[in-house]
Amino acid sequence: MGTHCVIERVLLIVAKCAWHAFGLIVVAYLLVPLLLAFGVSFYPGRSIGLPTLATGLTLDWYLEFFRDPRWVAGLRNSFYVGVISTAISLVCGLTLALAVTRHRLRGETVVGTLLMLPVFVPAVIIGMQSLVFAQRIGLWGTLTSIAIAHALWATPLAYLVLLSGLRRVNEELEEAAASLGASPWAAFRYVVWPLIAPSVLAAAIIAYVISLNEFIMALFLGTPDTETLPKMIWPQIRHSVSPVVAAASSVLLILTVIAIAIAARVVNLGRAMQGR
Amino acid sequence: MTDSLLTRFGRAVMATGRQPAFLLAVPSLVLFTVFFLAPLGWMLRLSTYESGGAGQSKFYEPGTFTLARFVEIAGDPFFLKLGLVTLQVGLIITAVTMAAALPFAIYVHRAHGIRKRLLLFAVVLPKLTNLLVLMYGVLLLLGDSGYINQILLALGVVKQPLPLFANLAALVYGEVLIVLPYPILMLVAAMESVDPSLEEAARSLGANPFRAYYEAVLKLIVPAIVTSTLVTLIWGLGAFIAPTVLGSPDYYTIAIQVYSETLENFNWPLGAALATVYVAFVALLVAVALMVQGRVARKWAHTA
Repeated sequence: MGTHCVIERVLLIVAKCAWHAFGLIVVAYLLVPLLLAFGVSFYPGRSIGLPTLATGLTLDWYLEFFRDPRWVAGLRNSFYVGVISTAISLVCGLTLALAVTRHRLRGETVVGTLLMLPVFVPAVIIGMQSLVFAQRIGLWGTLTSIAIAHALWATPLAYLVLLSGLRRVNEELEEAAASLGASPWAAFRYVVWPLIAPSVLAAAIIAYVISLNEFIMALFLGTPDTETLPKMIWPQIRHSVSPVVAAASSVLLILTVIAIAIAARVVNLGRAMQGR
Repeated sequence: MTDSLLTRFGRAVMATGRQPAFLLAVPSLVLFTVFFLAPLGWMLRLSTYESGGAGQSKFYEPGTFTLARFVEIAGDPFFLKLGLVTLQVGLIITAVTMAAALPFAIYVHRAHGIRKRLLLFAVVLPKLTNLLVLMYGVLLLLGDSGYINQILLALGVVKQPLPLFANLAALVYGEVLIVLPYPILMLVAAMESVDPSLEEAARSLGANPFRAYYEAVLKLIVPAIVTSTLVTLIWGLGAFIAPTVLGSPDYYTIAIQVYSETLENFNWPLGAALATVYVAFVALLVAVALMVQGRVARKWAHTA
C-alpha cells in the first residue's frame, strides 16, 4: 500500500515535470530564433557568431546600419507607412467601435466578422490583389498603397482593442454629462475620451507594430522608391547573411519590444487580446 | 433591459438623428469594400485577361477575355505538382501546429498571474516580430554553420555538418513558428470564456482532474478547435516565407509561384489566376468545414 502510494506520487511528479518541460520547449521554440538574431547583431567580427565574454560586444553593425543611407531610407519609409496605416486603423476602428457600443449599430456581428476577414487571408493574396488594384487606380509606387494594405490587418485588431475599451466605460457617465447639458461631442471629448485614451494608445501601438513588421504586402507593393525596412532585409537574407542584417532585424525587434512594453503598461494586453 | 419600448425607441431615434450609427460605420465599410473586396474582384477579373504580349511588355492585355490561364494551370503537370506540394506542405504544417497548439493552449490556460501573462507575451512576440527576423534566427539555428551543427560537431556526435536546412523539415520548423501563435491565441481565448465553475462542478461530482477538464472545458471548445485548425490550414496552404528561405525548390508552393509569375515574369494574369485558384480552394474548404460543423453540432444538440 505504502509503496503503491510512493509510486503514484513519483509518477505524478514525473508527469508534472514532463508537462512543464513541454511548456518550456514551446516557449524556447518561439523565442530562441528571436534571441539568436538579436545576439548575433552584437558579435564583433565579420562572420556570424554569438558574442561571449572573450569576444566582447560591438555596436559596429548598428553604426554601419545608421551610416548607410539606403538602410536609413528603408527605416524612414517603414516609419511613414506605419504612421499612415495607424491613422487609418484608428479612424476606422474607433468609429466602428463607437457605432457598435454607443449607437447600437444593427448587424454589428456581420460588420465585425467582415472586417475580421482580411486577418485570415494570407499576406500573399492581399499583396497580390492590392498590387493589381493599386496599379489600376494609380496608387502603385506610393507609401499610401502599402499603408492601406497593412491597415486591412491592423484595423480589425485596433477595433477589438477599442471595443473592449469602450465597453468598460460606463454609459451612465455620458448620460450624466448629457443631462448636465453637454453636447454629444462634449460628452465624448471630456468624459469618454480620457477614459479610453489608454485603449487608443494600445490600439495605435498594435497597428503600428503590425505595419512595421509586415513584409509580404510591402514586397508586392514596394517599388525602389518605397522600400520598407523588411523589404530591404529580404534579398540580403536570401543571398548573403551579413551581421548588418542582424542589426537591421534587431532595430525592428527593439522598436517592437519598446512599443509592446508601453502598450502592456497602459492596458492589460492579455485582456485586450481576448476582446474583454 | 428594463427600459420601456418607448424610451428605447426614442433613444434610437435620437441616436440616429444626431450621429447615425451607419455614418460611424462608413470608414470601416469603405476600407473593407474599396480596398479589400474591390481588389479581390479586380484580381479575379485580371486572371481572365490575355497576358501582356511579347516579352510581357505590358502586365496584361486590356479589353480581352480568356480562360486560357486556367486551362494552362489545369493542364500543366508542373502546376499539378505545385498544387500537390502546396497541399502536402499545408497539411503537414497544420498537423504539427495543432499538435503543439492545443496542449500549449491548455498549458497557458492552467497557468496563473504573471506566469500566464509572460506565456501569452512569449506567444504574441513572434507574431509581432518581423517574420524575416524569425527566419533569420532559424537560419542561424539550422544552417550548415548554425548552432545546432556547431554543438553537434563540438560534441563529436557528427563529423560533417548535418543538412538541417533547405529541406521539408526546416520549412515546417519555420512556417509552424509563423503560424503557431494564431491557434494558441484563439484556443486560449475560447478556454477563458468557459465558465470555470463547470470544471469545479465536474470535480465535485467525482470526476478525476483529466476527465473534468475534458468534459467541462475541452468538449465545449470543439468549435474553436475546428476554427483554429481551419485558420491554420489556410495559413499553411498560403506558406510563402519559410518555403523560400528554408525550403528547397522541390517544396515551392503556390504562393511562391504567384510571387514569381507576378513580380519576376511580369505575367500578371497567370499570377492572378494562381491566386484565384488558391482563394477558390480555400473558400470551398471553409464552406465544407462550416457545413460539416453545423451538421455535427445539430446532431450533438439532438443527442444531448
